[in-house]
Amino acid sequence: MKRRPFLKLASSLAATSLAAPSVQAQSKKFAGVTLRINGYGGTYDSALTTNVANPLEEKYGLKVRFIAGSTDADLVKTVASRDNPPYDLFMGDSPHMAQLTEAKMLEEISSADVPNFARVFPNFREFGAYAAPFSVATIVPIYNSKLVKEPMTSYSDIARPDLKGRVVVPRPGSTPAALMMLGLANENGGSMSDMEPAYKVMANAKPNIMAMPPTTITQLQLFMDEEGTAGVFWDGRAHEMRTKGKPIVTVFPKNGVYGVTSYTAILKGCKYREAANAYIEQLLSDQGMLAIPNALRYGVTTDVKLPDQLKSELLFNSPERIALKRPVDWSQLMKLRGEWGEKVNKILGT
Amino acid sequence: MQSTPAKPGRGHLLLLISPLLAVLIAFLVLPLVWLFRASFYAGEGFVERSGFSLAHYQHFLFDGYYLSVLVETLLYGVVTAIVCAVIGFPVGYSLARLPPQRRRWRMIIVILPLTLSLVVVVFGWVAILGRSGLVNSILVASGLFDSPHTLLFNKTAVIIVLVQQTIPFMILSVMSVVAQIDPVLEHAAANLRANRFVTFARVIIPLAAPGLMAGFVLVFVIAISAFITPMLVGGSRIRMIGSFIYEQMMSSMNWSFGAAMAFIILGAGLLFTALLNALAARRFVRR
Repeated sequence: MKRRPFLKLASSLAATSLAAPSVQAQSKKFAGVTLRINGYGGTYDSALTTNVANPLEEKYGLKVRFIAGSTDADLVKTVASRDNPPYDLFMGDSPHMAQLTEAKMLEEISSADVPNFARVFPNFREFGAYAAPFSVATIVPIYNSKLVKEPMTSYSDIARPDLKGRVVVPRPGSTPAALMMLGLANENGGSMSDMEPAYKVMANAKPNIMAMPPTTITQLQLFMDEEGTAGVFWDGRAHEMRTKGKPIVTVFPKNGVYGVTSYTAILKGCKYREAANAYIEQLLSDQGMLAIPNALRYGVTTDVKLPDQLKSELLFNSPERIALKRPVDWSQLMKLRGEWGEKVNKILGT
Repeated sequence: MQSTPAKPGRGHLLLLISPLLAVLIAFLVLPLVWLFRASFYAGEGFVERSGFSLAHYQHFLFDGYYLSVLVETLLYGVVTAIVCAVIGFPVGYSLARLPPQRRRWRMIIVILPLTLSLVVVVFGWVAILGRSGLVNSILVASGLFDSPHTLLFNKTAVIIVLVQQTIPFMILSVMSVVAQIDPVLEHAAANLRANRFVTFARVIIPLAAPGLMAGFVLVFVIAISAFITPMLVGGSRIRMIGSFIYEQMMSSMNWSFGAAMAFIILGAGLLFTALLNALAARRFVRR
């Protein structure tokens, strides 16, 4: 081949090969779109990235950015800047969704746009069509079997004398602390409207409680460092510690357990509504729904088929156990949890 | 012949500081005004923002528990400032008396902790003082302890971490003032047969008092507003108002009560600082 035709051919080939990926990317439905979602951090976000974000990028060119932080703080930021929220979608638990629903900040999700939304079990639709539930997390008693000789069996065991100075519980006023208080009240004849029995247990547990960390990650760190040997924590995080070699035992109290459902909702003002629908669709697909149970052993909210091994390791793996999940009036809990937190602070701080 | 530069007019000066003023108004004054207004909202949630009520201030000021938290917070501030003064004064003094080339690296060491995120610093302390941390490892390895002890979650741990975080402010304040004191004065005192202690107490301290006071106030103000340190290092029994404000704002979502607490600690801090300044002026300023 002569020099000039060769150069022409080579340059055309080079240009074609360089342009091809970009043309392909441009042809994808959501190329150039980035969705911002507040994240829970750690294993949670990496499981969602692998099973929800990455497939969306492959299929549609859609990028998803999880911005890890404290969900309570994210909620405050979102409501404070409601005209220009910092996220397109909000990931939060039942109480956060109660606040966002009350603030009228959520878009409705329709099964016509998100077919997988129809697969959600009715009892997980606490906020109707305003939020997509994707996992169930429960607050349970846990202990380190290497350091605690007598097994715990209930929430109230945090007051046992042998646990002096080694109990770690969530910070008063937070959602997990409020659920723990409900557990204590329920075990001792109280209820949401009568928390006195729970306060009594907290008073008895005062010498035992060493720390009340403000975030899940700091609480996890205290158990991992064996600073705390017993306490009340999220079931999924207890599983996470077991996978890292810590002999953490999850207790299922026979009087019942309290938990939250985790949701993702589309915020009003979201610039990419169609892309947000695609995210929810993938989140509620089989692959998306199994992301969190596989990583953290939190429960599912749709009719997805669970592998036997996974099913046996989930907290709610039988009708008897599901029956022990206590319902919570979230709007009432949100009104009362500050008062409970104040009372517990007074009990422990004086 | 050199001409004297023209003195800038008031308008020019205002123009020069206007960018700073704009930033301060936008990011400090306006948020503070909003927060002040929020402290008077009638409700407890954060969605409804209306009405006018003194309930949140009453809630705090008529509850013995919260008043004791306020006093405890101010005490943490005072103790931290005193410890910083005792440790920081000799360091600041020695840095001021060093020639500039020998001072450079020491200054970098003093300032370095300020460049790190507070959360990173606090987690560092948790790792050092934890059961599997450096201090416990050394104590167990040396045979002083049979097994690891809980060194976190007590008042001493909180004070240690607060001192570490705030001591650069004390050192820098002392150093800047001591550098202005002519060393000849110390020689003169020695010539007049004053021993080292008398020179220190009657010459150096009175002359360095403005720097000491500035450092004390800076350390005090930073310490009383601490919230991460008491929450992560303090455990369940350490009560500082910063962590209560965080709790109200971020967990209980009671912004109004949180805002009221923020203004109460701001007022208490300002009052305490003013009293301290008045006391120092009477003691050290000769009219």
